[in-house]
Amino acid sequence: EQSDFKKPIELKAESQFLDGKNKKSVFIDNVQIVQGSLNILADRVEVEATEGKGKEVFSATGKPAVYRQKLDDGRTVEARAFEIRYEVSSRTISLNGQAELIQNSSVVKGDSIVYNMEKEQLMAKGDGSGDGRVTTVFSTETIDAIKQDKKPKKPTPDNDDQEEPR
Amino acid sequence: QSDSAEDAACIVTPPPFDESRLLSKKQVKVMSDSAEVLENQLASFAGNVDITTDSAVIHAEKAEVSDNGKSVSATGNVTYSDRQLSVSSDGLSVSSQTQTLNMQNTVYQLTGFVGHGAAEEIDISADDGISLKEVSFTTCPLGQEDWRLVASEISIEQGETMGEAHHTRFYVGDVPVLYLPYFAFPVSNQRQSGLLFPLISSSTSTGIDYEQPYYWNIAPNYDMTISPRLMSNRGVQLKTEFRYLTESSQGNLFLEYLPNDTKLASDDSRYFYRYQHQGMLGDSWMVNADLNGISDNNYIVDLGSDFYNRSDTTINRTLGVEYFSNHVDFSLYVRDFDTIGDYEDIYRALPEAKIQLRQPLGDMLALTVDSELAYFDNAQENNPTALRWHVAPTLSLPYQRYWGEMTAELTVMNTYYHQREIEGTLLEEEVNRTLTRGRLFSSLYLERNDNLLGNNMTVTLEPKIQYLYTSYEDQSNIGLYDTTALLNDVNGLFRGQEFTGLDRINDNNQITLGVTSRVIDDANREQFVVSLGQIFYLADTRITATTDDRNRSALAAELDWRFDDNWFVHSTVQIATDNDKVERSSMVLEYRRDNESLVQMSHRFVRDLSGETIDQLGISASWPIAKNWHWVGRSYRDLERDRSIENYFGVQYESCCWAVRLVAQRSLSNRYDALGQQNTNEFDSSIGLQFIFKGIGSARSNRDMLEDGMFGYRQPYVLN
Amino acid sequence: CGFHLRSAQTLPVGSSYVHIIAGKQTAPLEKSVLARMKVYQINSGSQALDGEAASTISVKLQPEKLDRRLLSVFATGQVAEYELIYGVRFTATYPDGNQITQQFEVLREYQDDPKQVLAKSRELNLVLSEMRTEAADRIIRIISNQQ
Repeated sequence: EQSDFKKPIELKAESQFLDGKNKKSVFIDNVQIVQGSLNILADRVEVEATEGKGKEVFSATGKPAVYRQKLDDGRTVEARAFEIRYEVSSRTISLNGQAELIQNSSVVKGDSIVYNMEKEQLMAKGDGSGDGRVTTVFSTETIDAIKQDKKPKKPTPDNDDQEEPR
Repeated sequence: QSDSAEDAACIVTPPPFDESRLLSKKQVKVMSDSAEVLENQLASFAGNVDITTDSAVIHAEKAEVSDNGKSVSATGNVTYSDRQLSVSSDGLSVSSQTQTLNMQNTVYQLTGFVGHGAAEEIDISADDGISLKEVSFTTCPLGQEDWRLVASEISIEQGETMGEAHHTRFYVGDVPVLYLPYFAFPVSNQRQSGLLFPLISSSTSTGIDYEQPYYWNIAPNYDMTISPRLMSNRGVQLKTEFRYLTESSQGNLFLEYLPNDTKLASDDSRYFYRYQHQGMLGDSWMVNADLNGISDNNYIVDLGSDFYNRSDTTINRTLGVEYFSNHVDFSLYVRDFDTIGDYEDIYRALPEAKIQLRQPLGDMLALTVDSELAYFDNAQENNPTALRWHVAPTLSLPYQRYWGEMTAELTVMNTYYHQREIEGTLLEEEVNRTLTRGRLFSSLYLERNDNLLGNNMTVTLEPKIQYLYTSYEDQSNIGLYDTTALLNDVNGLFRGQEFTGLDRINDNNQITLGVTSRVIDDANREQFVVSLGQIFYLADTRITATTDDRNRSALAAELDWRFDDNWFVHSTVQIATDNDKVERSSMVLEYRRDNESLVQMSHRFVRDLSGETIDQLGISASWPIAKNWHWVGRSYRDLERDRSIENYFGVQYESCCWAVRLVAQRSLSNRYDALGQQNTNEFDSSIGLQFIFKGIGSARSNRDMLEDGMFGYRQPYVLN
Repeated sequence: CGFHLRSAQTLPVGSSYVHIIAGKQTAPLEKSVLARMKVYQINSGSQALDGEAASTISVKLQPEKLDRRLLSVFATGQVAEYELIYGVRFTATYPDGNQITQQFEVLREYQDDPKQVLAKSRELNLVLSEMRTEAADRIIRIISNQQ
């Protein structure tokens, strides 16, 4: 929900070390980032806090890394990709490498997906090659309009398939 | 006329829609180079977009799906294909309110059918199917549209095999030749039985003959075709066909009505009607009706008919009910007839009830009781009428195995007659005839495998022998109601009766010998069949169909022989052995290269058939000339009177989507004069021109020329 | 000369029962096929034997067709002799799933006589029942000769 973004961010991992020079902390092996209902699981997470509190940038990698969050109306959003970058300030995450985002009844797959959690806006791009294209699947009751159902057949006197001279 | 025979440019029927590409239940899948989704409301896709739903596959450059997939729109050389058609268009949109899919500025191709064309707009919706607006339609190949039809709207109801066009203009080349406010045509390869496209032809009898059917699809299980027919020589005739199908019965009603035949002096109307019904009552009772009527003797000769050949004489009026079970068969029929020609004194069965009871006794014996009760009435007032009650229990010992059969039968036949209006005849008012019959029949099936001409064959030898005794009783006091002489060919030798019906049961004390030999190839086709048979009379038969008395029947033989894949001979012959004169013979020699190219020669001889001798030679051939040209010729000659009976010559030019046929024929006219007599040397000749638009015509309009004319055409019998 | 009694008209290996599926219009043909099956001592019936499906040949009979074709005419041009063409079409499905569809015609000659219309319609029914018996024999021979 929107309230997630006011909550503190917790970080758990098996091991952690600080790279003071470029102000990055690195967490390794089943890292988990939790902020309210938002949580990210990954093998390795790098946190850049150069801009100070509330403007951190998390870049998580995994095979794949997973992002999950509950929305205001109770629906959940889930995403997977080899690399997930979460920019807290702009509330957007960008997924790269076999990215997949599942949102209630629709699934979007592609090479890279940028998802703004606040505006629920998504931008997906394929990698231009055949199967790297973006695939979106709606499973909805929607397109009944073009559903063809079968009507009883006409009374053809002999539905024998050879020509019937009358 | 298969498509492949013509030049390669013809459209080969496109393959049916590959259903495996569709998704399961209500799913929509979109693949694109890039996608953008905004708060679940609007999703836009760009770059080589493929949309697949559970009923259709769409491709476009750009597409938008709004309010969570409720409506979809696609632009940029959009292609759409589903089970019924494939379309390329500028734009496509699906709106969930109207439940329709709409395409603009389209070019379409029907799936699994050669029909294609362009349409300004196509709307597809679940309940009323496909509607194409401002549409053109043809079955000719692209760029070679020899004909096309342009309509304000064509609608193809969902699951229907019929397209209905409104405000149709018909173009040959670029010349508009026809305007039809409404017109229906089949849109699937499954041939429609009705005549659905204008049949334009000419003949000396009707002059220019233009018949335009209107198909009215009343409900899923009944429909109607109304066809006004304009004939320059005879005026306007109305032909209607109504068909219905319920889950327990089916039937149809044909009405043909010509108010005033301008070619005839008399101005009374001419009509033909046929009502047929077949239905189940419960699960073992069946109702059958086949009621036909015709206004005058020359109706068929003058106006033609799809049900009768011009030389037919009998119009059936039967109505009946039947019951089948393993032990009892029962049928109750009214059999009345209308005859063409002056045959007023025919008998009718009003009604005729038959029952057969079968009861096995132990595992060796069987008892069958056949009983009939009938009332025979004559169309002429003062001819004899009769009530007949016949009972015939038969005790039989059927020893039947796959290698042969030994059957003994003992039958007692008791027939009671109550005859009226018999003044001035030898008939008596009450007659009771009791006859007994004994029959011994035995047959063997012998076979051996043999190697003839390199492939292994099975040769069979099937000898048969029968001894038959029937007691004698004078039957001259019984009238002839449903009895006449039976045709005795080799198949009928073992029947033991020379008459149909029961009014004459001939006494016999005779032995019948017969043998059949077949050569069957390993594909189970009979390459050679010969049968021989003869009856040896041990005593003179007093009740007999033939006048001369002799101690042996004619020797009957039948031969069928397929020399190789192309040559075939069929012959039957009956020789009276006491004077070695041929009583009946027929011979057919056929060379068939394929269905389109064959030559057949036939000769028939019957020494005495109802007082006349038949000696007839026939030659019939069908051969392709050049790539699209094909001719059919047929000539039948009466050698007895040394004159021709039918000469028929037809030539047809056929291109991918149309054909034109010129037919010239001259045949014995068998028209009736006012007294119902026929004179014996009046001929009818006619030149006919027929246009056939392939793909949307009907089975009848492009009937194979081989089956056309007097000697070609097969008429359907109603089986009841 | 090598002739021997016809070997048993047995069904192909692996099948022991023939189930005749018939529609409404094929009752007469179905009856004569079942009758001839008894003669050839082949176990058959118009209902499927439950539990026997693994060794049942099911035969679907299409509605029978009877056409006539003119053979010869009298001096007046009226029909003298017809050829009766009885068309049979059936599909046999074997236990191993193999399916064959066969069609053939039985031909007979028949003379018409407008003065004896009722008698001739009775002769037609007699000839028709004889054609059905011949058709039944051929159906049985085709079914049982499939290896």
